[in-house]
Amino acid sequence: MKSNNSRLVMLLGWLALLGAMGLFCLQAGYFLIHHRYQVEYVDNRLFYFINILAVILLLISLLLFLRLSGKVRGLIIGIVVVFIIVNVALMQLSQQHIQNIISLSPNLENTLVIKQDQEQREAIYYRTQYYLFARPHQRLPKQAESQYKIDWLTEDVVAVTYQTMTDSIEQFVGTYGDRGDGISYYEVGVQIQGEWAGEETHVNVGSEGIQIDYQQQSEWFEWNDVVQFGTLAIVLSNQDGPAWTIVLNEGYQIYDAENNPPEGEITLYQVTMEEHPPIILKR
Amino acid sequence: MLIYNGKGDVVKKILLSLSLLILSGLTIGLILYEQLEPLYLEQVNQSQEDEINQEEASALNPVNHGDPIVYSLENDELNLSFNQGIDWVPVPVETNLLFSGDYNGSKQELIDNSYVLEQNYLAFLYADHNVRLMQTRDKGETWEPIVIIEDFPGIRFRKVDMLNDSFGYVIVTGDRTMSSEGTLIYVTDDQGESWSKVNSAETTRLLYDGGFIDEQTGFLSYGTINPEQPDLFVTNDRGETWNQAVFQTPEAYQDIFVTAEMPFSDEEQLIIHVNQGPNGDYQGGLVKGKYTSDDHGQTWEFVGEVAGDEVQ
Repeated sequence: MKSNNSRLVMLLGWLALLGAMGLFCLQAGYFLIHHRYQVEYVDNRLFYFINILAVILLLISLLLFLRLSGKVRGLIIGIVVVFIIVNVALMQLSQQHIQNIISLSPNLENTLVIKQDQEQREAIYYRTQYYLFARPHQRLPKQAESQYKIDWLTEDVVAVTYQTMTDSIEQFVGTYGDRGDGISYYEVGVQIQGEWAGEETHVNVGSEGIQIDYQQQSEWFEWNDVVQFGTLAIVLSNQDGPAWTIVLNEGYQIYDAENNPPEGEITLYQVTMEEHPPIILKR
Repeated sequence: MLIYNGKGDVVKKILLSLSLLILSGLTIGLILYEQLEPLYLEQVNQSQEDEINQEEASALNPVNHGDPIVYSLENDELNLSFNQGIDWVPVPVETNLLFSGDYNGSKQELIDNSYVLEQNYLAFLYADHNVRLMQTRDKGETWEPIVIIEDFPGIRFRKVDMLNDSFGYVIVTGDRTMSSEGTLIYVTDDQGESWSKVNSAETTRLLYDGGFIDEQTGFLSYGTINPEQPDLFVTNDRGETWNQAVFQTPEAYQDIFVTAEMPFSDEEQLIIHVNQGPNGDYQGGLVKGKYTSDDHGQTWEFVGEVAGDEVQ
């Protein structure tokens, strides 16, 4: 019985030590890849969190492996506690300086990462790499005044809506997929030409522009007022800024090599800070 | 416990040293992390920029959105796509030759009727000192450049069309001096493999439009400068002989409808729209006269007025 306990303690001790060493290597490696591949942790606070986890595991392994005198044990625990307090404090400071906005897609496969400089209110959209890391990709249009409203329109399209310093509403669309072969670029506008209908909504996409009839109100957008995000979404703007977002839903089939016409549904989403359900449109 | 005496002392030292090393490493890491410069977007993007530029350069924009076969005229290249701009096939023609001769219109899109875009036959009419056709029957896998007319100076009007899998025609005008020019017509019976010249109408006025509606019946409409009445020639023997068509226009419309457009068939009879020419101002200049013919285009009877946007 005692022998079994000893074996379990031994196992836990080794696991904790290996865990601590693994996390230490990860932190050391971070400095290398940060410089070489220009990546950061998806959340800046992760660095401090990993530090804390590493010293806790280290402490556990020491306590399990070694019979330490009360003084030495107290000293070691004291050092660890100070280390943890310092890390927690720096973590708080870090968040005050750079706010990390992270959102997982409903199926947990894609991650939206935005880091906002709290002093300059400048926000950068990051693309994730290997789950833990992210690379700055694009500056969000205009400085944000409010919190961000984040809506995953599909599993691979996320709309980020926010109020700017000048009280206008802006929208940024993050895309993480493709409806083609993943290699070729294509124009969303070309792929959705035709008539679309949904609840109290009618959309006509033609060669001159896009007509949106919603709740008996009609709006016309020329192609010059349309901005594409990735190969999945377009945002339609009027004189007040972005007004509607159109997304190719999952399963949407674009023109293939045989030029068969596209099939599938699209989502129409109003750009507003209020909660509005997306409207599914069918041909 | 498990490591506490003898050999255990060594292990204890090793373990404590290792722990000290890890803790020191993490502390140094913490100091370095605080001093770490944040990644600057511009710096990161620099390396990505070439990639993106390359992608954008390859992302051509179709001119004729929504058509089954679309083309792009970017980067001094003519490219075709059979799947709405996802894959592109280059056309081996210098783009400036597509607009050569007496042409002052837009070079952002191809000249109307100077090309054929069918699934089984694609052709582009162009000219240097010769009038040439670049054609393909396998969606651009193999291109066949041919000379239709040698030594043809100053091409102005140009039109190519393929009515079915075998019969097609090319009409060009050129050698213009003031208000006169020559009209040349070539026809093919083997989908462009060989072309033979046929006669054209005996006039040197400037051609407004021309074309065949079937293998026997063709039309040439003249008068682009101050036309006073429709000047339409018709052939019913694939260009062997040309006769001037007769228009039976009511007195009230005599000087109004003056330029004949290309006739079309509605299965029972031929229909033609005659517009008001460049100077027409009857009802805003948009209204056209509609005529029909029951004798293959030789005589035309006035039916009524049609609004400009009703016209096909």
